Amino acid sequence: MVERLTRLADGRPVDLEYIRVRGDRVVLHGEVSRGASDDLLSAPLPAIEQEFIMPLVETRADVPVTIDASLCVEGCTLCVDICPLDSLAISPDSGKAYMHVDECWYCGPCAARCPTGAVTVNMPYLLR
Amino acid sequence: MTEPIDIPPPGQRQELSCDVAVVGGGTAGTMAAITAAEMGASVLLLDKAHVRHSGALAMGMDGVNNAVIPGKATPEDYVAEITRANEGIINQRTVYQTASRGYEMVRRLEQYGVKFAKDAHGDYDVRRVHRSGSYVLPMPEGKDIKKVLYRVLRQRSIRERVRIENRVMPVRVLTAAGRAVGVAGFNTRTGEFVTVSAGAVILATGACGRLGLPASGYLYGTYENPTNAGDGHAMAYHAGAELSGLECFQINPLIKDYNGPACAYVANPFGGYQVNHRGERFVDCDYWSGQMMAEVAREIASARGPIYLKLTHLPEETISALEGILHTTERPTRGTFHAGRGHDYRTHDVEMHISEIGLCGGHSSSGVWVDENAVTTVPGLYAAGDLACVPHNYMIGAFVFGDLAGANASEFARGPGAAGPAGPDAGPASLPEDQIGAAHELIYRPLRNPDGPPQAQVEYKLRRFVNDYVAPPKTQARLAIALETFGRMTAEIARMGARTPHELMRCAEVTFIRDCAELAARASLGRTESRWGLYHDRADHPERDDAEWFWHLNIRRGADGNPELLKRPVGTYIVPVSEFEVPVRDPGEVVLIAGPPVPGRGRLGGCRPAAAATSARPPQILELLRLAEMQPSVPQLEPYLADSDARVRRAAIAALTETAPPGAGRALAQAAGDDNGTVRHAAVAGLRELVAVLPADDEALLDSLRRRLGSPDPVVRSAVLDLLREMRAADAGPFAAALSDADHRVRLRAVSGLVSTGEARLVAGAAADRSREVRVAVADGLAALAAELTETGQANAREALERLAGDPDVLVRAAAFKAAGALGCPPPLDTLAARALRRAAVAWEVRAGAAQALAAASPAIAVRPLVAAVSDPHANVRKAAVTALAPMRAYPGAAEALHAAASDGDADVRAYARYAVDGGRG
Repeated sequence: MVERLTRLADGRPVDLEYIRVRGDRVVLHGEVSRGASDDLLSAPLPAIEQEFIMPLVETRADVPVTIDASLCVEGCTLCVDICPLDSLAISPDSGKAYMHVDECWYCGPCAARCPTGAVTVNMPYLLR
Repeated sequence: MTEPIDIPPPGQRQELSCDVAVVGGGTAGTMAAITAAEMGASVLLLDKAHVRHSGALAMGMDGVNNAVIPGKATPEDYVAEITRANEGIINQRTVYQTASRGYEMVRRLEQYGVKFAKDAHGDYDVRRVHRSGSYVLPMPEGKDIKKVLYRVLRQRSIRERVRIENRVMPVRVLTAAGRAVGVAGFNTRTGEFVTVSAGAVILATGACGRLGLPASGYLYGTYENPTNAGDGHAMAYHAGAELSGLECFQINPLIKDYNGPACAYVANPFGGYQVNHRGERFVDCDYWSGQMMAEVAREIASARGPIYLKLTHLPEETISALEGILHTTERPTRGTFHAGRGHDYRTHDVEMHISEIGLCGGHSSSGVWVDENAVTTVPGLYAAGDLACVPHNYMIGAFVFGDLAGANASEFARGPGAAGPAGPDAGPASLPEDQIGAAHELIYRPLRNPDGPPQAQVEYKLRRFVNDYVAPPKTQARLAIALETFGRMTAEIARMGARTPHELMRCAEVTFIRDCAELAARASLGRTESRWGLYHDRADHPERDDAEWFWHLNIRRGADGNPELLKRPVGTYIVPVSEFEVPVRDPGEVVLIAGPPVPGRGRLGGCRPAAAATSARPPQILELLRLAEMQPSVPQLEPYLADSDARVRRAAIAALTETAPPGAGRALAQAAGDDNGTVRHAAVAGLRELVAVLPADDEALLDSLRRRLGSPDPVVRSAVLDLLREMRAADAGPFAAALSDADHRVRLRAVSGLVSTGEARLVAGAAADRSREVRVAVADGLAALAAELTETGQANAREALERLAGDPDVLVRAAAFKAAGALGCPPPLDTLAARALRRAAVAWEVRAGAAQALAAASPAIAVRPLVAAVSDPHANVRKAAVTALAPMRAYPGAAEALHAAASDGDADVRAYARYAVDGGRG
């Protein structure tokens, strides 16, 4: 999925198009265009390639917990707070929850406690 | 947790201090924290997950396996039973604690609001699963147990003394002069380094469940909660504590691939049982023991495999009742799993398989060596729950030992032996910096090799080797390869790479798994005999060797830093068990065993500076969620309960139920009148959940509930009847009135209410109800009332049962006959039963019921049809006939029939027949 990054971790504005490959780890794709502010232009860019390009082989995984973004309440972190395996996170871009690692005991508190019914727990693919 | 971080310097850390540090907020840990706080200690409860849903009880528990309820069993019976199940190798003093304190614990949990199954008389409804004695107590609404415990932790009196740190994972216990003085760990979200200085440390980290690799190959698809990676086993070992019985693995029969319990304990009382592919039963006793697991493994591997939990023969209402438990409690995704494959209990028996190996005191007997006070061999260090070596301790044992650990640790922390702070004024004691440095290295080492092999690959390989070389059948040759392999893996683990705090957590867990794998292999190698069935099946030493091995086998870190094995004598039994003769030995007599050498471990290294964490934003439901964390009062929640958005009202009800402030009952009763159906249902579900803690003398609450009997919603009406019954807050009036309700669910609750108020005449009067479910409930209800019936009541009951015995519905007739048995099977029910039993055209459920009825009838009428029924085509009928015949074996034909049944094709029938033939001395 192609997405757009507008700010670096240190707060400086950038405009990067990237492909989301696994959670919040991204592979850079396209030109870095600098922000409008002049003093930011003078500061050297941090080693963004080091920071963002994932050197390991990318393996796609079918993850068991899915979140319906249209129901997920932005700012709520209940499922993220309670997951025993800490496998859920809030996407910094969308503000919604997602599964950031394929680590799941299909135990179900995330779905049972979600106030809007946005979370579905399926079986991990290997068990299905 | 998803952001890469740098290594923080060891000096840059969060420093915490307390009297008692509890590691793990599951079953044992929460109880330990509560008790220690009640004793006045300042407590720090650390959990790498979140206490609300952590540990083995993440989603609740469907029953207690080991409740010794006075009048139902004695502590001595229980201790003898567990001694047999563990083949004699047992410290009875520890098990006796669970046996003798379990009842008090059940009562304490009940005060907190946990609900246990009770019969119509309000007695605990214990079931029999063990070979002798009834200890299984269902918890049909056990899904809320962790919610209840969390609520207790947050009550003001406890909250003031217990500080909870979620997402903090200790990796090492710190010691000074041989005493536990704290722990070192890190925050798995921010990566921050954390040290704790404590007067005493309680380890309650659960089983080592992530040891063997499940057959599915999914790292986290384990039987135990996969967060339980053996953290406490490794921490106790490195702190110098002894571990025991690590060769006695946990292996369980589970739903294949799903890898959760099926569960025979739950399904048995409903009529489910395990069969092989030919439909034959093959185990005498469903209690999980090594012997039973060996039979299961043999059956699966034989031409008669695979094996199944048989449920398809059960009637629809039984299956839906069973689904109601299996698909909501303990592992609620069972339903999702079956549905995904297009399977259904109505059409498919459930394929079963044996699990991967694990180390668990709760299910078998491996763990940290403790005495009857939860004390380990390291002063100031305590262990409880699945981590501790207290055989077959299960949930009640975890609570009992959590309580003991909490009480003893807080006392120790106050005493002169404690190394930590004596009170709030004392500053943190100085901690051993060399150990802190070693813990720091263990945690952050993977950040130095960000491109090293990732945890998932390393862990998969490690656990695959566990399956190959450590899982039974075990041999000296395979175990030797295991040790060599785990030595090699030490170097691979040292090169493992990580970037984020989350990955650091998983990497630290891999080191725990490796430590447990090595210790389990060494213990298995040491015990040169076979014992505990499949758990320690040494193919090269197939016999049990009591002369050499009637000893505990313990393991600890020796003076040279390498593991050393030692034999500790089995202490004199406090409850003699005829099968075992305990050799008389001095309790201090310890025999060291020479073992193979140990491969080297990692060493210290350098560091880099640290980074910061992330943040979040708030809108509407969010206020409520935040409020719920702060123990809100009813007035604080009221605006949300009156919100125009039903979703907000539902969330408010959830918060109200979760925190149960004073007045919650009235507010929920109010909400049960909501216009929105889902809100009403959430409100009555909340009331049901809290029923044990609702004030039964609160007239305003009761009035408000009674008003809801006029609700247009049958779900509300039936729930209110249940509440009134459970609170014992109504006479027969409202129940009698509800017998004419239009909805059968309400009428069912009405019958239950009338049974609880002892109204036999009114119960009998409902025998003509148009719903089959209600008529079955009438029969069951009359059976429950049998003991307390007046003469008129007897007559009413007999008439009703006579009518029901001629009912057009099979299940009603079966229930009627069963109830006739409870009533002493008066004429004409005896002749009706004898006739039904003789007719093969009658459904088997009815024949089984008729056999149960005849158990109470005059032998002159009963013996002949029962003798014939011993060769009935259906196993359940044969079993009922055998049970009924047992007391009549002096009559002609009975003894012969029982002898014949002792070689029945069905194991269950055989077991009952043999028991009957031996005159109850089975």
